[in-house]
Amino acid sequence: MVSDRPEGHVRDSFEQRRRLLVSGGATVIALLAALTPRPASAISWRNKLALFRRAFPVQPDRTEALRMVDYVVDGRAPRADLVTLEIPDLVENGEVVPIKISVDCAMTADDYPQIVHIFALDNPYPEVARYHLFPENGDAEIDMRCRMRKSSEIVAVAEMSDGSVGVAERHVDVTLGACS
Amino acid sequence: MKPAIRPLLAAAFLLVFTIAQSYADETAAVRSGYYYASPETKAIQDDSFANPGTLWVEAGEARWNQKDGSKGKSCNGCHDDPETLAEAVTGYPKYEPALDKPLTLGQRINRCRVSHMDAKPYAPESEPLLSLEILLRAGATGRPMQVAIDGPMRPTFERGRQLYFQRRGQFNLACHQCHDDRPGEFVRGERLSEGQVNNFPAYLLRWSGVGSAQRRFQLCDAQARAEPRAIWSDDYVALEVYVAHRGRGLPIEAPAVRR
Amino acid sequence: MKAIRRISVPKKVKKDQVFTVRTLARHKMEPGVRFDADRFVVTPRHLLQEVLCHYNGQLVFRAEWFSAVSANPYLTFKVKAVESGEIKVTWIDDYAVETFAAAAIEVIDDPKS
Repeated sequence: MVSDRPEGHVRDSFEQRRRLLVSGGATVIALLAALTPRPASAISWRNKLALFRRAFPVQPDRTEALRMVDYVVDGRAPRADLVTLEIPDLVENGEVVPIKISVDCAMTADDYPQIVHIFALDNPYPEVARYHLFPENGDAEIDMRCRMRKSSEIVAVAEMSDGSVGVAERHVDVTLGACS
Repeated sequence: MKPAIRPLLAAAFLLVFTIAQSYADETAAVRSGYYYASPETKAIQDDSFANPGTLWVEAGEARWNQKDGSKGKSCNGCHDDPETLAEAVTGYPKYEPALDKPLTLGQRINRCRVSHMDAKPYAPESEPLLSLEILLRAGATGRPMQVAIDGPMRPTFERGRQLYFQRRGQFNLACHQCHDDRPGEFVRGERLSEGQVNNFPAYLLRWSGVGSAQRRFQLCDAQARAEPRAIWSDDYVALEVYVAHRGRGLPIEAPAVRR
Repeated sequence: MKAIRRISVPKKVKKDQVFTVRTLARHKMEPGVRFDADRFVVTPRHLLQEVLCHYNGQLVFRAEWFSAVSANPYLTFKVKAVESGEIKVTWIDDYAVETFAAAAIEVIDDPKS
């Protein structure tokens, strides 16, 4: 019976020739493909690599950014109306996004923002800045300019001296991204 | 109406219309790019402390007073303050008889360095050159641009006009399609301006630094997916002459902040 | 001297009045992610990492900056006027190089307030 034939055993010369043709042909084709000179490409390999590198820059990770915010907030319930973020809704160029952060507090030893964290959720590196304030500041108001790669949210977290926390978030539309 | 007058009237109307049309491309609405910028960008430009372009103006001032070259001269030595050159600055790009070609302000500064200071010319778009250029333009701020296009400048002007209306690049775009026909409209999220050069060299947010009109032309070409040409190439100088004349009367604005 | 750091404070303030300190630094703030196709390298990171403000020697403000701060960084914060003296802002970069700008401030004791 045909099915009793052991593995690899050739039944007849037709099968033998067929097998030789298939295996030999495959070898010849592979050899020809390897040895055929390639046509000159319009884009050099160096430029292809450069385009690849530019097309796949450091990717933003929103989950990671939110994890960072959660780490700072540390499970505390954010106080309402503590932190105000003034940012334009639409910016022409992500290179310069003017931000104004203000924290509504008495600026006394037991009621001042010790650290104000700023995050941009869809940036490749979400941390923007950390500001350490003191009661000597009189008012907790900071003006700065940040970079955003794409339309995203800016999150400000203020850690107060009495252990409470305030969070503010604003969405910004960016037409031209930064860092390209 | 007498029958003889009608063809005369028609001819007169046609003549006036043709003359008016020939001026049409040169008397389009003339507004600086400031008009088309976003409120935030305008706010940065208006604040002389926070305007980053002023850092370049200050650097230019330091360089203006710096001695350079084997003759040990500084710009200050011959020219006193940059404001004294304000009237001359409004005319650039200007024809240089000795070289029989027009020169941009940057090229003219280099020429000064080589011939009068015996110093090496600055590389195109280099920091020191841009600092000096923006210093001179800051000294001339408020004065209207007046680039001469008569006499030996005429061929350059015509070449510039030809380039302005010439389609280029994979997008097959000509300058006038965006900047004459559609200023104020949006192209992929960017608001089109009239493409004036009264504000160059300007601080562009995308460059995080100061660049000249020549560099902006390179970006324009790249945005139309055309091959950018060299800084100070004949084509770009001719284009700058045409665009500067097209915006004649616009006050020079320096240091300007643009997208 | 090339313009690199800039500071602005009001010349005279009343005691206990809160005034604004405005600063501007000329710095590329290179984030370290931009790819330069001509040189075929990622442009290396070079940032201003820390900004300190000392009011007559006492630290009154500290900023830690990361790559998302704009080039030629602009920063404004508030300080309460206590006594006449000097407001000094120091910028420290990735390589621990310190640059500073200082301004004098005069605090007027207002007997009426």
